[in-house]
Amino acid sequence: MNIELSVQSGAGRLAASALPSAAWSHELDEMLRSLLSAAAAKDHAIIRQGGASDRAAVVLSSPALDADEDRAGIVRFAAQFSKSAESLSRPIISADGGSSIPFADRVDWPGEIAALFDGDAFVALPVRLGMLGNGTFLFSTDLDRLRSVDVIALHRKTHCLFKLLLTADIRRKAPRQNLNDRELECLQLAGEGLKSELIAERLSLSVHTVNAYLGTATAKLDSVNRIQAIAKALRLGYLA
Amino acid sequence: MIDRSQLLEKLERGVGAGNLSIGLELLSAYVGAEHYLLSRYDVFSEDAYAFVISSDWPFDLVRSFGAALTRRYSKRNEVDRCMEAYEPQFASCPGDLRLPAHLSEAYCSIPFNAGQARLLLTFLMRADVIVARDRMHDVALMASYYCSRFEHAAYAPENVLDLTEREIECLNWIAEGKTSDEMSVIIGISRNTVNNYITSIMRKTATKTRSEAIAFAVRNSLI
Repeated sequence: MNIELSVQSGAGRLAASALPSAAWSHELDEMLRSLLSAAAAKDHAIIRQGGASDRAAVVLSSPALDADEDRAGIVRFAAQFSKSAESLSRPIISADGGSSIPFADRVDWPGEIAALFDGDAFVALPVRLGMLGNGTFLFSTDLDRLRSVDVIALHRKTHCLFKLLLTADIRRKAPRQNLNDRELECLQLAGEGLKSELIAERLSLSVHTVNAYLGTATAKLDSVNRIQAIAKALRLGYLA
Repeated sequence: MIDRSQLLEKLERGVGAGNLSIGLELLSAYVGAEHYLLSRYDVFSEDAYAFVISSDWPFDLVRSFGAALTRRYSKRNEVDRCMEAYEPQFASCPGDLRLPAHLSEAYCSIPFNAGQARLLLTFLMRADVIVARDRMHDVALMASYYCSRFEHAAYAPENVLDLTEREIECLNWIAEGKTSDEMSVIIGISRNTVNNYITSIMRKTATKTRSEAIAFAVRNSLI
């Protein structure tokens, strides 16, 4: 259940990494159970988006969907939603799902996916928190259950789940890599286009001190130069 | 107060009518708020009001407080912004702000996303009203659904999408810490060509240093 399989759409590169069980909290478990029961889901898949825009992975799914090709198919299916930027926000339901869900986009069940899921209708709830923590919760259910489901409550729970997953990610990474305030300030200003002299002026330090801070920050971020350090710091969320 | 399914129906009709503010008024009424401000913190600029999408706040409050809120949010750390998305935040206006007599100092701000847009919906309340917190959470999602149907609210921010593939490739390598020499070997082009690409990137992104160009690219999800 805790294996993350990454499929890079188009490039076909496979990478596998495991979500350490320590990161899997009781809270996450509770949230997932609550979500699945509220959805009255028959089959489900939780797809998370990686940092780069086209790396998505199925993190969790019902036992029937454990096979690699099945998960790859699901990832491809979910990828087509995010092609249209707007549908990053709204629920997506299968075309024959009726008109019960306001603001939902209707999409046809592609043949290969229909075969995987046990259910008449599907719902995909996209989660877009920002640059991090994005993904989709996909589940199948019966048509009549679909009519009575509270999509907004479900979507809210889905957001909570994804935030818990993001929190687990953050806890996994070394806390702030021990960057101190000065180092962060220098990195921030360098990222805003200031050269060392100007940073020194701005922070009332000498140029050598600024370069020293940038140097230690670079080392702490395990980078070869300050530019790589800035990229890492941004992706880790240390800089605005 | 209307119930949620009626509200959703009315919102869908608002989309049909093509009028964003109708829906925002409905959402305000749903939570018991008096005034709303819908702003975008991803296109915030000090000298223009393009970040204001729609509002019925007294204009001076938009100029002072609305701008301050949006500016503050635009500078927030990305991790915090992701964790706070769709979470209503309740706080008090600064003491020196001159509010109209009928309004409370308490305000509620909800950051949310619509398509690729990053928005902030801030409500001002009447002094004598108790706000429905649970409804605020619902509003976050409904605002997201609703605004994603309006181009002028959910347009993708003006990224420099005319960076060529080669330029993006160079950016990726620079972010890995490669020098021009190393890149010329990796990509298989001359060092001059690499530097030309970099100059072009900095010109297109209006950045002055490689550091700034990388920061720009990461912030805008280009790499």
